[in-house]
Amino acid sequence: MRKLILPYLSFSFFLMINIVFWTYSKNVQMVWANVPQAPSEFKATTSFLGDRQMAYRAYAYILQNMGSVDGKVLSLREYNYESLRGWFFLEHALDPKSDIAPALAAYYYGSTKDEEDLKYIIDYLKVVGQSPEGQKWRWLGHAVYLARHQVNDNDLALELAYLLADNKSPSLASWAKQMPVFVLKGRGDNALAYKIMLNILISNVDTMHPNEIFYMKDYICNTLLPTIKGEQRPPFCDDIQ
Amino acid sequence: MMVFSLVKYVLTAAFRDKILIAFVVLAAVGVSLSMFLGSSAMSEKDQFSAVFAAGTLRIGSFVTLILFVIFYIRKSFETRDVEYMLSRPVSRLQFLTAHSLSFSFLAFLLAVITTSVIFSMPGPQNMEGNLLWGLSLFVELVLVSNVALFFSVVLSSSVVATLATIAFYTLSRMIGGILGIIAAEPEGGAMLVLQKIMLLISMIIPRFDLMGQSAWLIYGAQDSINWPFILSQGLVFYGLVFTASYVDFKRKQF
Repeated sequence: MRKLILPYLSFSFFLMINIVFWTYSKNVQMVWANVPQAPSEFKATTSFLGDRQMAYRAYAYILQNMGSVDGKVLSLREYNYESLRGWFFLEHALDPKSDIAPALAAYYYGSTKDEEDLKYIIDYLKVVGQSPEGQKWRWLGHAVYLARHQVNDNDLALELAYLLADNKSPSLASWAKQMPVFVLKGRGDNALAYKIMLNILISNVDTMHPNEIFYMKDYICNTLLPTIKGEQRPPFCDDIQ
Repeated sequence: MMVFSLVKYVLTAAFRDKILIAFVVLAAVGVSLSMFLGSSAMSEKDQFSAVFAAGTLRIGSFVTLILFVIFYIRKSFETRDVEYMLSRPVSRLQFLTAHSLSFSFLAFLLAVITTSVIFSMPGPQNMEGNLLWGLSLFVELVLVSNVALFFSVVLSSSVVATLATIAFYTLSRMIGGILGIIAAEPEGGAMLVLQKIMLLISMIIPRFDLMGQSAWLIYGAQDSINWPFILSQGLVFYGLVFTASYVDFKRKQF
């Protein structure tokens, strides 16, 4: 028994030291250093031993939860959007087909009210939305919405709307082709909007759905034409009440 | 006939070690974790789960196989099982062939289990992509098991042999990126020497970065990487590593 006194005493001593240390360490929390710089494509792929898709999904997961890991809830204003843009472009390089990264950018990080931050999101959506693959053009449509209604930059919205209308995807919706018209109307360029809408109608009358044709005629005759002086009323307006 | 008896002997040892049961448990844990992580994704939940499960099981099957191969071979040397078997009418080539075949069969079993798990994951399945991924995993596991066999024959320490195999595997999966950097950014001076050395090393390193791509499970097989490429790489490199093991084993003095 006497031989065990020293080991027991030593153990008790270090147990007390641990408890004293715990009273300090339990209040220490990691300070989040904000969004880190995105790694290069090589480093990102190497970290996952060459599996690009694994790297894409893992980084998408990180982006989804960034800043919210240890129970904290941060305002989007606190994020470094310039660094976030780097991450989104990295994701685009790793997998340009998936919609996870554009969805995170558009719907989650795009919810910020800071106009400067939104421009970084728009930069990314502009690139993604120009892909003719699948329905990627919808992200460019969202970028137009952000530019027009959140950033209040109609020049930027018009630039994006022209890019959207030029998208070569076979699934491009009619409203996407007409987007420059809506933005021009919002800017007050009704004459140019009228000409573009009329041109779209004439060029696509053989392929568009009758409902779409009726909508365009109604928009031309009842929304645009009344605001333009000196423009001759097209014959088809007589069919629209 | 002796070869098949030896194959049966090695496989009996593997089943006695319960490596398949251990791998199935590992797979269950890995898949559960993958599905949990995938379920918390904002969208494309099934794709997340499939990719995470595939990546986890790929690493898990690699670790399971090399640990068994290395520790089994080293134990055989240390308990003088090897010398006892070679005292029987078994040539060194037969001995090595039997072990290589056994480990390759274990690789096949692990690849079948893993591919079956991937097929059973929820969500849309890309049949062609899944099968190519399974074949690629099988070839990869055959190659790593034979590399593990090589290192365990050459090196006398199990830990060192394990580390060497892991290092080889890591380099094989990174070699594509390294070759890409060498091609894109030609350097001068000392860096040029290093680049040449890396190019030389890459001649005897298989391109694991081109194999087992998780993207195949989601988007299907790519045109550039197909089963003829995977099988060709497997055969060519298997020949290299098997003959290297044979050369060293033949030279060993007992």
